[in-house]
Amino acid sequence: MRISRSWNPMLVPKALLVLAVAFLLAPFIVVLGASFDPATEFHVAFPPRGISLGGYETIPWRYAVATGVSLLVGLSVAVLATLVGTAAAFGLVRGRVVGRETLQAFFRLPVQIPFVVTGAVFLQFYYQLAPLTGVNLLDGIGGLVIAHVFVAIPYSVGSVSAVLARFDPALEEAAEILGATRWGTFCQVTLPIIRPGVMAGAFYAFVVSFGDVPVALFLVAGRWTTLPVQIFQDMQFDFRPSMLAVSSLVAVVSLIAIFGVQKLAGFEVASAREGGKS
Amino acid sequence: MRRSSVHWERFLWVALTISLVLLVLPQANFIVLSFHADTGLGQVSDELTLENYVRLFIDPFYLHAFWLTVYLSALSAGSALLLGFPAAYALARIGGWIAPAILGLVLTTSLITIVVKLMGLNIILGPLGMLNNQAGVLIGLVQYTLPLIVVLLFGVVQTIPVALEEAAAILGATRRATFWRVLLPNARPGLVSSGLIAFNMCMGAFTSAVLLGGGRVRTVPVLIQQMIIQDTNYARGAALSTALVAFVFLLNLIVVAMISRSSRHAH
Amino acid sequence: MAKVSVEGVSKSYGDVRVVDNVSLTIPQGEFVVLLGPSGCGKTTTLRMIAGFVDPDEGRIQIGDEDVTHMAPRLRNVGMVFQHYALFPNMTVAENIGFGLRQHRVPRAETAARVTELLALIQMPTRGNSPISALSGGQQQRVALARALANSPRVLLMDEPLGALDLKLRETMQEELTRIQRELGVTTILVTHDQHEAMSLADRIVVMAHGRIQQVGTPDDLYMRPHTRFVAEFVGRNNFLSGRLEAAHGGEALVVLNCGASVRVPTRPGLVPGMSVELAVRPQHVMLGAADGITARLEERRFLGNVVHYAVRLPSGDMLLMERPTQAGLPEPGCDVVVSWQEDHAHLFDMQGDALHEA
Repeated sequence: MRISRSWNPMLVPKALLVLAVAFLLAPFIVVLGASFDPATEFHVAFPPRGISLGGYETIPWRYAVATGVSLLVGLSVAVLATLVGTAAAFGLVRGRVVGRETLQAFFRLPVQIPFVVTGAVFLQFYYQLAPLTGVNLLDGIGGLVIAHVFVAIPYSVGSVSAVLARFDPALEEAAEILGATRWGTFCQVTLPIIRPGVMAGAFYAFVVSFGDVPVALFLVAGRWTTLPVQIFQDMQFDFRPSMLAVSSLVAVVSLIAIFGVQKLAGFEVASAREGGKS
Repeated sequence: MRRSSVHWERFLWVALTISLVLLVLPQANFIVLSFHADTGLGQVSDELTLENYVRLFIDPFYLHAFWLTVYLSALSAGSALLLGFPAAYALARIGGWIAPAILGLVLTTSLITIVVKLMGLNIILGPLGMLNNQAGVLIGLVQYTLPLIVVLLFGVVQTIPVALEEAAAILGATRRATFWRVLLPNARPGLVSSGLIAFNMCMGAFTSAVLLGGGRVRTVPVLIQQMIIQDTNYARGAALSTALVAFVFLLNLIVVAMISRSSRHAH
Repeated sequence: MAKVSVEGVSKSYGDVRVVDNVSLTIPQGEFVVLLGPSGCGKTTTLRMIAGFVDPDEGRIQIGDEDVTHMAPRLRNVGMVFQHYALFPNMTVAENIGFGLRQHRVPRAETAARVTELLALIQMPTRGNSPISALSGGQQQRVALARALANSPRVLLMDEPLGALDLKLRETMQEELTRIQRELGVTTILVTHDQHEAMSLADRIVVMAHGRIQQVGTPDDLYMRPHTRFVAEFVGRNNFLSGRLEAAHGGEALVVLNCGASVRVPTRPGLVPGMSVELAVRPQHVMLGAADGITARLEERRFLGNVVHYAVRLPSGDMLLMERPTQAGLPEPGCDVVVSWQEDHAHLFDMQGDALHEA
């Protein structure tokens, strides 16, 4: 009895893999390529008919401002979400709690609500809050930061919970019996070892905040517009070569930043996905 | 000095309070709002009414929007599974250092802000006539969900040992038989849960639908934004939003119930 | 160096009394092994001495100090954990020096002490290695050095050799003995491996079900087990049920189930008619004596320098024998006569307590 092997059984999956990767990378390559096209108007050409940095030279100032806003918001969100998420994770993994699974599910909720809805929800909330407290969270980035923290907490909780669950309690006992105080143990042993998980959570919080469109669309305007929203709004009107240039820059810088952060903080992008993305 | 025990729960309570406040207060406010009537120019009346919700069930405009959203979400989730499963399978079987590298690359594409991707898609799909229509939105949704699907299914395939397929081959099974009898049944729970995740993501997807549909493909998320920002019909927008969330939640429950019933029959 | 004294210590988790009224005194410099099967309470006892578990009752003293509820870091005790628990974010030298840094020892002194300890564990060049680069045996030695860095008055070890393969384990046992002798530190080691206990311990504490079964030197335990548990756990033993027929002075006559009558040394004052169990070790059972028990040889297994026989008695019970390999040994299937020297047997009552002279 012969097993028929007239064609490579892995051919179809491998081909589809190539197709999938090409499909996912195509838009970036097109944007990058078209950004070098020496066009001065809104006509887009790919492949580019030549190499010109015209698009890059005419980037309006508002994009730089928007980038600054996005960075500020993103970093704030990363810090705040990490603080809350790490506290929650320690409590969930190490605390004596009833209904641990329900609580874990609760912390995964924000990511399961569509971002459009979250944006609308917080918009209305801030409208109601303004006359009551005298604080208008829609003026400036405060409201956006809070809304983004709401959405980002699950990533931090998931990421830190994962490393904490794997943490060997004997390590802390060893530190204790060698003379370390509780705080000393936490700083010298616990924190350094869970750092990759904490950093991964912070990283995802930043990425989610930086790349978000729907929530920011509802909650900021004018000079506090974030970069994705700026691009989004401009895209709805016309194409300028500068937009392609900005997008390419965003893509390339993001790519470098992602790899850089991975190396520095010591975690793998692929494995950090335990955060519970919906 | 006595050994103190750390009450880790206290950290949880703090975090929980913050999260609860962020979740409950705004949502409650929102849902209450949906039970009022819009009186134009962003104002709402003082009395409670169910009209906003009733309208969703009666007006064919909204029914069509829900149907369109479900249709596009299901189609794109299915397409993502169709493309993503073999791709994930290939990655899992290739293994080595290449697989995590490609996986990282795939994931990275989803971490870069979506508008960049959509700009590229805009350029590609324009000449193909797939812009400002459902086809474009479909492609955009698949772009949105495919990376996560590949990552999730990669994990699923990794839990199916190669030895199973080899055993089937030694016993004389063709590749097709191995696929239907060995691979698919074992991957089914993972496929279902990943598919559901993708479906949920698409049901809530806004940016892709707007930019690739040109405002003409009126899925529910697109409608929500239009109603709230453009029309300032806050109460109706709130009702639509709440209805969307409830609808997706219910759909998930039904699917999960159906799945567990069918797997009980299988045993 | 200090002595350790455990007095009436108990610990329960829910309804389970994991440690039941354990009392123990360990003189300065002694190497004591807590031996027993899983769940016998040996690890919990060790952890109470370390301070990670709070006793429900009783008192623990190290030296003259009552440490019963004292925090671990104040007890000046060193511990080697089962899976070493070396800090992965530090090098070998940083691990070893950790305890010194916690006590604010000046850097120069710390470095000198680390060098000294690296020499003690025979790894002088590995100071800057990351933990991940070490083999199991090397990790174990670093864990030991780290525990000794603070010059603790007591050294505790929780099944430290369990993860090592046999050859490595034997080498490490020799190392441990050497280091312990050299430093003279009071040492308490927990293990379930009786061979390890026998080779390392000055005295062994056998535990079962949360209680101490017997405390003694290795040969004490082997030759004069106080309970059936110890007789069975330490070394191999055959158990034959029977009835006490008569008792006179230091000797008793026991009728075994198989019908044979044997004499066994006992303590005085036993009541005839009681049910008993007789224990005799496989290597003490002999072949071919004039008066013995006739039995059928069922199985024979060559193990190199010894031969194992499985012998079936008339009552149906099996007896295991171990004889040195020699020519002319009987074949399976034939009848043999088995017997043993009177004082090689031990008698136990049905509660498991020894009936021989203490």
